[in-house]
Amino acid sequence: MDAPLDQIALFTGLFGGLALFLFGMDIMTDALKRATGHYLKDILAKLTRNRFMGVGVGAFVTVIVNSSSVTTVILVGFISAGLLSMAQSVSVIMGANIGSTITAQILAFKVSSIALPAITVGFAVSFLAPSKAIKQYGRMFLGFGFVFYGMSLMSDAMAPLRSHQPFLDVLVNLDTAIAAALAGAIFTAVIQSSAATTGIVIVMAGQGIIDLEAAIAIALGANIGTCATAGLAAIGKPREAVRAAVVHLLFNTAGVLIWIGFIPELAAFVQGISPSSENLVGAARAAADAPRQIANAHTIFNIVNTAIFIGFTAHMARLVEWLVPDRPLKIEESATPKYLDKLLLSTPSVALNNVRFELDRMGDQVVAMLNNGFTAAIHPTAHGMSDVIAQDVSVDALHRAIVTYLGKVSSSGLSEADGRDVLGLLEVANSLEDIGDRVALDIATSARKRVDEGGKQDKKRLAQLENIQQNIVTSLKDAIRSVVQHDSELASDVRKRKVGLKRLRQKFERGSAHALSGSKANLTTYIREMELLEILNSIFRTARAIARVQLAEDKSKDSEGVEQED
Amino acid sequence: MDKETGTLTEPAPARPVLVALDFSTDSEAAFLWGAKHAALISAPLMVLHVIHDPVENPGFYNKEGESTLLPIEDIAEEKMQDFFLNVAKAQPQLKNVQLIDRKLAIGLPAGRIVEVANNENAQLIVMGTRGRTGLSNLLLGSVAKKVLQHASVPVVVVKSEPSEPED
Repeated sequence: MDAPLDQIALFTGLFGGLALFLFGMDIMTDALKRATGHYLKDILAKLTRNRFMGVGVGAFVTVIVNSSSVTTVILVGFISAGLLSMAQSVSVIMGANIGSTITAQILAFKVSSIALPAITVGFAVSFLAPSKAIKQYGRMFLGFGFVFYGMSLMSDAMAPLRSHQPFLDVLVNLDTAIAAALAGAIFTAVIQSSAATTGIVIVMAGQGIIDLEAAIAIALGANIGTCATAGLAAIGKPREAVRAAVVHLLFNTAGVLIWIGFIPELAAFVQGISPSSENLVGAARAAADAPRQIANAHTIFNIVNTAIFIGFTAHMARLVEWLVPDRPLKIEESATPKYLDKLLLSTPSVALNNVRFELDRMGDQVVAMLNNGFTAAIHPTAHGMSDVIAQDVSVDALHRAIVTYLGKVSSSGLSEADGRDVLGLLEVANSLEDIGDRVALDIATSARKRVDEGGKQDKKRLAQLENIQQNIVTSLKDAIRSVVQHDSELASDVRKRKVGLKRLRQKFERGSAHALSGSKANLTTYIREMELLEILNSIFRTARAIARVQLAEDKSKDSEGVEQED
Repeated sequence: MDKETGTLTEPAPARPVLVALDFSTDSEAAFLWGAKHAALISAPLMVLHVIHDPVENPGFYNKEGESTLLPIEDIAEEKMQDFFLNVAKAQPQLKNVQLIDRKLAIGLPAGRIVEVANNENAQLIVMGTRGRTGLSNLLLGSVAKKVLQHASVPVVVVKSEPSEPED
């Protein structure tokens, strides 16, 4: 008779091992994303119109981030932030499934013996390495070690189940492919990791607890369950992003439906092509060979599915557009941020890039405020100033959203370069908000006083003042553009405009002083003109400060390059 | 003058002619037709581009030579600007091209065109067609066909002059 099952040891081993596995995956994915995040957006930007290239990109990114659902979540984030289209994402999603086969293949290696050394080395590197970049590689090793240590704990805990009759009775319920696939789908959706399901299936098959066909069916089901992650990420997102998540579900479900009737054939095929343990016989041999066979089956069905569906990407996208129709058109609210998507927080360099786009939007609003405020200030009735003050409410709301978002980005542990970028972008956001306040408060106050005093404006001097204002608006636009587009040449050009503007200002001051001939009306006009000039000048100083942020970023990049060369 | 009551009434503002553009040669032809027609009936001209990456040929909003991701909406705005610059250059007789009311909407083209036409109370929709044929037409349909089916105002579909056949 078998020894009684130690249920505490079983559950702690199984769930503790699963927890370590998931924790390891999380650390590894996070470290991989942080080490390579800045390449991700460049890789995706180079997506061509060629769907085969898209498949390659999807596979590559998935290998980098170690999870097909993470790739799809990144895609959903990019689409939601308006950087990528659903049509572009279809082939990338297909490629993501191919990329996930690498994880399954790695899991099929019996590398539990190197789990603890990997943890030791990973821990040492992540704590002792001098640079953040090398620390990330240490964390990758640490995560890798945890994944395999978790698998070995689960394997040890499950060993007694081989002969435990109640458990074997439960498994009988999984003897149909559909039931097994369903179990795989539900389990994966709950733990949000198809790699973990594949890992457990490999462990169970390796212990001889389940046979190859059941293992393949569960792994197939995991392909459906993994769609839950992107599905959850797409809730409340724009329709294009929801469509990408539906493409993922549709493609993976269709793939499973194709294979579900051919599992015995697939099992026989992978048994034929996978390496076999010649020195073992019977159940022991089947158990020893199963992990690689499962990984190979996983690889085959994902590659074949992509090969089948690659010709139908357009039709699949059209079907999804039909399934997920547009919502009615909404008027864009200027106070609501457009590009600050929470899903991008896991890839800080992409999130920071989107902060630049949001700053661009905020900048447009500030420039409009400056134009409208100035027009209102020189208008005899100061008409339109209430609109300018209303615009400031929108600018303030965007400022708050950007600062909050940057706070979230910086709380996720940044590289030195990204950390500096956060500070620079905060300065730009604060500067733009400051300009907005100066227009809404100082220019508005000056305009009100001028209306009350009823001073007259000389046409020639007004034209000079307008010229100065236009120069400052151009400089502000260019300063914002230099930050958004990382254009140091433009930033440097803005900094150089100080001399030219000083000349214009002095010329205007001389003219105003000359016109000051003692009458009270001329005196009040002079005071208001000088007041407006001073406000405009302070706005120009802030524009120059914005340009300096871009120059400082460029300088720190250069010095980093020199350090690396050293 | 109101003929029935014989009283003077305020004339209702003219309903716009809406031209839907996808920046193709056909949509240029549609724009020119729409502009001429609007001038003829003294109606305001409004143009619309629906931001939608074509599923059969994705990457329409990829910018050549750009190594980083840019907002699709910004690229669409640039394309609209370029379209009008080209039209202004090719058709110098057209006045105030840069002042035409331009709209961008994100979504599925046919539905959005009909929706914007309704929202803006357009009197006419003018659009080009790429003239998809065969299986592709059967499976993917055409935007113009869907707009014709769902629009509540007249729709003019314009095709550009066919190019010279190659030998």
